[in-house]
Amino acid sequence: MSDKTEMSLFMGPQHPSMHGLWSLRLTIDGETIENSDCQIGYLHRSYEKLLANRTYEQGIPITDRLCYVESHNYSIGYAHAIEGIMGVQSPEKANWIKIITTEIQRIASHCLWLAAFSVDLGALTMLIYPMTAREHMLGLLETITGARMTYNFARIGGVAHDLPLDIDKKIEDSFDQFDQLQGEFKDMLEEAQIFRIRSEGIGVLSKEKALSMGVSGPMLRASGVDYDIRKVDPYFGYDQLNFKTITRTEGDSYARYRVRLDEMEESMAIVLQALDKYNEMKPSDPYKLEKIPRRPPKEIKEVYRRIECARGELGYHLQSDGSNSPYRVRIRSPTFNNLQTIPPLIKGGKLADVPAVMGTVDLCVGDLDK
Amino acid sequence: MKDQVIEKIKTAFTLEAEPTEFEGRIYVRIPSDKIRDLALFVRNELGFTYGDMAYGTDTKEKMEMSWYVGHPESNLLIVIRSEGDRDSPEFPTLSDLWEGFGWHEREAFDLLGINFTGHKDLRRIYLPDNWEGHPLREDYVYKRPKYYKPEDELNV
Repeated sequence: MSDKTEMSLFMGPQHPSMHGLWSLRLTIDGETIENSDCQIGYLHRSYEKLLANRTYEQGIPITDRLCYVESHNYSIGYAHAIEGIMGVQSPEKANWIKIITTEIQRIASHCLWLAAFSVDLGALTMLIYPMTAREHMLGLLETITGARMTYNFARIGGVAHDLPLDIDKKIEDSFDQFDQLQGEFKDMLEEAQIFRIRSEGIGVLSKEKALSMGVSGPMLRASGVDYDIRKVDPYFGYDQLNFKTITRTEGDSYARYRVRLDEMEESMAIVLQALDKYNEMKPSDPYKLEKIPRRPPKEIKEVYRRIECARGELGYHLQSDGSNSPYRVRIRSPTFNNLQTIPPLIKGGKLADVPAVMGTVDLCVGDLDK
Repeated sequence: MKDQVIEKIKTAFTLEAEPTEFEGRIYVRIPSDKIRDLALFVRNELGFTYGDMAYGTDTKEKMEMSWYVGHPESNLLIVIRSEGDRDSPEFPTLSDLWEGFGWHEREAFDLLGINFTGHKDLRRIYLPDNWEGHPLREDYVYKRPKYYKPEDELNV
């Protein structure tokens, strides 16, 4: 007889540290995790079929609902893919507006992640600070698009409307306040020993494993791979801006936290540069194409376009049959690949480390289940 | 780099159709018995170690499977694409070479009914195990799912 007492534990959606509707089945021996299995699909809406049953332009508002944390990036990504299959290009002014809004959305998304992640690790006060900071970003997006959550701002060949006149001052004010808050919560977290102990050296993801798993975004860069779609496969004119990708080599939970935190600062720098570029344009320049084709041209059969959203590589593959709706849509959602790393990362670890590892994936179940 | 990659693939394999390229994606069509040879070549010789995504497409006559693999230092993606029989599609798995394809192949199995030989953990991923039919197939007709009692053995 062995001393092993295996027990099966169901970490379901009702568990406070589960971000949304999915569940983790764990086999544990005492406190040590022997095996685990992710059970997803509670929120499966078959987006690929939904998009294929709609015309191209009808798809844009529903892609806003793919991920509730950064819905803007998901519709911008879809519009970007449609532009690919239609063979059209947004005017330059629209691209600068898109960069400004997607980067602000990235900061807002990282703020929400930080609030949730700190609470997972027991820093309960930290729920409020990033949420306040996020409020400034949502305020900016509200000024630009008119909505706080599902923006419906993307259009084929541009954006819905131009930036408001007083946007420079608003961005400056919001960033000033954001900077102050960010300094505060950096001190609060990084000087808290419990936070460091619980995140440093936990859930180490090696470089080779990360690549083979198809991990993307801050999770991949925390494992030492310098792979950012904005640099590798530039779109919207990111290649004209001067910014650096944040990488760390440790690959643990703390590295993933640091990458996201530093990325917020980098995003603010990108917004300011893009704003300068935007201000060089004339007010009469178009922000949207006048004429947009209803059907893709015959010679373009399929296209795969990707953007770097807050979670990683978001890609849309569109296949056309010449009609006004796509024949096949494939959504490459970043969390789908990133979540796969959870079973190997927590194997052999302690049960208490599960939230510390799971939190750094930055889950969004709407995106995961499609 | 793009032309070199296409040239290397063309010299190593006799392909029926030329590889095509659009926006940095290189589409390579290959019969299903050569998929693993091509995959090993692409991964070990050309250094495409990034497992990006995989999906199946129902083309009404055939069932098509595509695997996208990337290079960590370039924008190129090689699309390994193969056609199979529509009624009982079967492909060799690539989830042992790029672990990330594990869930993508499970998704194709779930929504299109594609079978992958050699996959370690091939079961439905989104839908319950006793769901009837595969919703992404073009001939799928939606039926109201029947009510499952709690004692039914469901892996959800």
